[in-house]
Amino acid sequence: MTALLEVRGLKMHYGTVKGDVKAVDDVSFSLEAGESLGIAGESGCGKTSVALALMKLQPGNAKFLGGSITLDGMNVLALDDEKIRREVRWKRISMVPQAAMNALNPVFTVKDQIIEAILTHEDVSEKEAEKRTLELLKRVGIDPSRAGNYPHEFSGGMKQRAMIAMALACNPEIVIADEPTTALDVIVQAQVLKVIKTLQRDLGLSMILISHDLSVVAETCERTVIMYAGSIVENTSTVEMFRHPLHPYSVGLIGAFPKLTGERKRLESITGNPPNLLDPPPGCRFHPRCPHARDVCTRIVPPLLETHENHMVACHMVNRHPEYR
Amino acid sequence: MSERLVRVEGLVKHFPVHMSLLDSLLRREVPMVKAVDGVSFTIKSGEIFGLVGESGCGKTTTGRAVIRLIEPTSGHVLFDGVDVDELPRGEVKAYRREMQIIFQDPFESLNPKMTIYELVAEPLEIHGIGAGDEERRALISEALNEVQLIPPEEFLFRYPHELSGGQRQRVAIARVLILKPRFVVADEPVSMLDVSIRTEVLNLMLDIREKLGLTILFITHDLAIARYMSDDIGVMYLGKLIECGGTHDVLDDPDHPYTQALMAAVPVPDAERRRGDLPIRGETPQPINVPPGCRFHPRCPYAFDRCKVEEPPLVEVEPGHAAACFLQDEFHAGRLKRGRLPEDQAET
Amino acid sequence: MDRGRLARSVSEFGRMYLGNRMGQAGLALLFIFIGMAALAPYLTPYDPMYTMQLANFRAKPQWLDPALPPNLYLITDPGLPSVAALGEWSLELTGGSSASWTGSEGYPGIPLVEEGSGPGAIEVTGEPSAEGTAVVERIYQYAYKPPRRFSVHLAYKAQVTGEATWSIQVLLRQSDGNLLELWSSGPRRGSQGWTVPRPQIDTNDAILRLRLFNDILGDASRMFPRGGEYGLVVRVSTVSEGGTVKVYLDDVSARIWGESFGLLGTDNYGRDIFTQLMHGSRISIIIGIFSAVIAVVLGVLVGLTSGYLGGWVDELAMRINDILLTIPGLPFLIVLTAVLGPTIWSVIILIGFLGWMGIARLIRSQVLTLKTKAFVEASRASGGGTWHIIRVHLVPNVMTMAYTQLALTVPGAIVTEAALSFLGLGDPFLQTWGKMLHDVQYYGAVAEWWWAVPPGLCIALLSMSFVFIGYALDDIFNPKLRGR
Repeated sequence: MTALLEVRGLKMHYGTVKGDVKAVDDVSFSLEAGESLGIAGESGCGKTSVALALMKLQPGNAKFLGGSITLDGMNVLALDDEKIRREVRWKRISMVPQAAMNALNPVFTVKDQIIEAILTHEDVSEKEAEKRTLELLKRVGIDPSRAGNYPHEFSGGMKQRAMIAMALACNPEIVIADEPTTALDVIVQAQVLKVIKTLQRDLGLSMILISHDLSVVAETCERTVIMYAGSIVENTSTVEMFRHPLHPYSVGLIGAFPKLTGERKRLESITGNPPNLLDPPPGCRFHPRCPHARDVCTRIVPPLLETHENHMVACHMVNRHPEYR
Repeated sequence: MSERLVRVEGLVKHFPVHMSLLDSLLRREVPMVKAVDGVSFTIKSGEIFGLVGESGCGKTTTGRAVIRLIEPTSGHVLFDGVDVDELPRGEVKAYRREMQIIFQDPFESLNPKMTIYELVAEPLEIHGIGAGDEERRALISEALNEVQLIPPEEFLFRYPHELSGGQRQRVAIARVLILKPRFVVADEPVSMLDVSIRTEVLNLMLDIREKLGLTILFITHDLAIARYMSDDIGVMYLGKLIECGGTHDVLDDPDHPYTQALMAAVPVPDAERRRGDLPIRGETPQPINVPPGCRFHPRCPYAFDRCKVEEPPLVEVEPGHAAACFLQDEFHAGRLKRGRLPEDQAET
Repeated sequence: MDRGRLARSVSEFGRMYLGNRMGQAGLALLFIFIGMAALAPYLTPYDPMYTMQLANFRAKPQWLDPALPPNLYLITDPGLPSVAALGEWSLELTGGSSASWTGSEGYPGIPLVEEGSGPGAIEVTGEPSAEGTAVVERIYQYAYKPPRRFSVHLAYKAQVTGEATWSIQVLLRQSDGNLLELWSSGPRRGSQGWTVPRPQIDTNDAILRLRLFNDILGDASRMFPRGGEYGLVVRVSTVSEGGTVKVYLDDVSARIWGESFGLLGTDNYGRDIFTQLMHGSRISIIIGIFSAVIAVVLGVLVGLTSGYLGGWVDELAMRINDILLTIPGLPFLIVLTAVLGPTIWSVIILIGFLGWMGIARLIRSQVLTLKTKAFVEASRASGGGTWHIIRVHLVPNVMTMAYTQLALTVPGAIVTEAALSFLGLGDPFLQTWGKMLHDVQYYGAVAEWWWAVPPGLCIALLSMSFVFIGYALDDIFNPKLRGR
């Protein structure tokens, strides 16, 4: 069975005056139809770059140095911009961008903006588009009577819901949600996450949710990918990830979240700082901060291997270290 | 030293929305943002008091007003039993030195044009501490050691932009510690930091508290961090303290529907512990038009007529645990199930 | 250790500045102008304002046309200090007259008006009881295009005892042999002290022109219509009726006024345009920098106080600012210069006082953002007072903007001064670039590009140098703009 979306060895660098920022380095993962995948990692780990690459919305100074993105057997990277714009973006893959609250144009009503999005991508009548818009807004929990409001009349959570409705406007197969709840307060965040989860389940969407907050990913996704310094360090089901994380970084990251229930104990922190991607360390990029690093880690980049069933991890020490299992 | 180091009594801070010259000339009534609307609590010496709430609830304003960084509209803050407002001018500065603040964004709170040395020396200069460069340098090195910027010499003449976020926040903490304060307000000190770094800063603050016997008002929007850090906790909603008490009492057995809602809403990094349905809807209104009665009533699933007209006072449900809800005793005694809608109550 | 850091940051700034191409260009240009200003008195011996009549008015630059006559002085030693000076002259005597050099006489000059040359003169002695003439002539080979102005100077004295008349004629012998009488004393009796012809023998004299050419508009070109041998002839005639007569001549000089002069020719008063250009750089730089400094200091002070204090202070300062901004600058300046008098200092102060508003607004907005910065609040939380915060956090952060604004305000001041001068409202005792342009316009000399273009070009280039420097500073201080 082939996956709906298949990313293989994706390598994307940003050219800057100081040299190449190695933002995405040999990233591979796949997304099955109807699956929800969470990509988690700290700021600057390359998770947003991956999302932009999937839509081919990467900034101008980005350079693809290898790899492929295959959507339903079609190599997205090989398509020209026009074709992507007409056939892929929005219709097949759509995105709820970061800081979505500012993504709405303040001079048009929310309804008009969604109708506009439908009309640019699909050949339907305006009436049809309006009908679909109201339906979408209802789905994300916005009362259709408020559809004619301007964005400033919406609260933060409602704007975010509207952005989700807009992302769904052309019935895409895949929705990428990039930090969809970062600027929201907890209660509203919970409401929006619930909307996302319900929609994903009801519409059978494939979803990639990108967040720096592991708990958001844990709440929402079936599968979790953890990225560090431009590479994937671990990829497994969410349950497995939180129950038995294998990569030392994943272990540290999960351990760094204080618990809301249970015993209060001192959190263990990961020492040091994430590397500068202009000049990442050789070998495993995590080795300068890793408590288990050996000589081999400083020289050879660990490949992402399926070390246990349905559990991929990129660490040389994973099977040699009894602590992990 | 009294047991209660900081006592906040009826703190109120209203901001005019916008006052133009014309408005003030005509003495026109301008709408007020009721950022803090009557907040009272006490912080025991040596403890960490966590002040939690969503954005706009007034927790940051409270923190600033407590250390007199902004003038409160009314209310008193007693520090060590002394009302700072009533002190003669000359003594105020000495008291202010004992109350310090750590800011949210270490990228913003350090002047980018100053070196670490200059930044940490600034409070010394202001208060005229340390005679001569030698003594100051020794004090600065000591403070940097304290916050684990080791060896200090390596950091002294670097600029903030050359440091990572965590290191910058340590510099900000060093600036505070160098004045040897007894009370520190920490205003979301880790919210701008990445997860792997923020733990270090949190642990550092716990260690310093232990070592120096600091009293800390820890402001955060993150309940999990508040739980990790604080001994006592206060929950704010729209400028009011709606529940406060021991951290375990408040977070494990919340007696105010808002606290219950917050607890239910926090995502948990545990895929198996999925939450149930949320009992509240809608979003926090602007603090310009605060609802009458209980300010939470429009969103509260348990609200009844009395809530719409009468504001519930903050009263104890058990010793050391107070809430501001007419139904708090029902929740506390288990007659109402927490986190469940009223219509579902009967089912069990 | 602090000094070492300062040196480091200064050298880093220097490196960044010199790495900036616009900065290089601006600095190079500015150095050229500073060099001009510093070396002006050494490179040009004249006074830009008061050294007049260096050549004919509106002479062209020397390099423009080599056939144009430069200043030509026909007699090299007009003061006749020794007998040898007579060697230039040829002498022709009739009727027993005699002529010789004497050291006992000499034109002493006219006090306060004209200097004489001291002892040394030609002594012409008439034969008693006879008529005689003495003709002295200076031959000159003229090899240029016709000049427009020719002038002759001489001083004479007569000593008569008894009955005798005398007369002096000054003539020009043209290359075709034609003799033009330039001046004649007419027959005179009796003695006369040292005298010079009044009006001066000069083709600028309309009467002379009318007499010589029968045309009031003619000029010296009719006297020297082509190249060849010309002679300046002074004829002394004596008629003795028994008495003795001695006529003395001194300070005989003749000048063909230059039609070409210096690097850029002369203006309407025969002043050196190049000198004016060189000296103009001093005035422009001084005016530009001083008034910009005034404007920036005022702007920073107002911006800082109104931004930091806020409230009614801010409100008041900004309303004054608004009022001043809405006043049209140049007309206002014109009125004020008329009231205060057009000295350079009043111009500097006026431009400075009318130029601070924009800067104040910029600094204020900068202060308003700085004020809300967490580091200012952090400083306040550590106990820092108003003065401490302004000194430590605000001033250093707005200074970079102030430097940039300084560089960017200078051109405005330079141009404003030039505009005032161009309108004739500048300091009348200073020849600035604007004044030069004013002269060009006033005398309708727009076609004389060597006069009209350089001051305009200098104003533009000097302004540009400061604009470049300002942009370079902006680039360095606002790293976000880098790569513009």
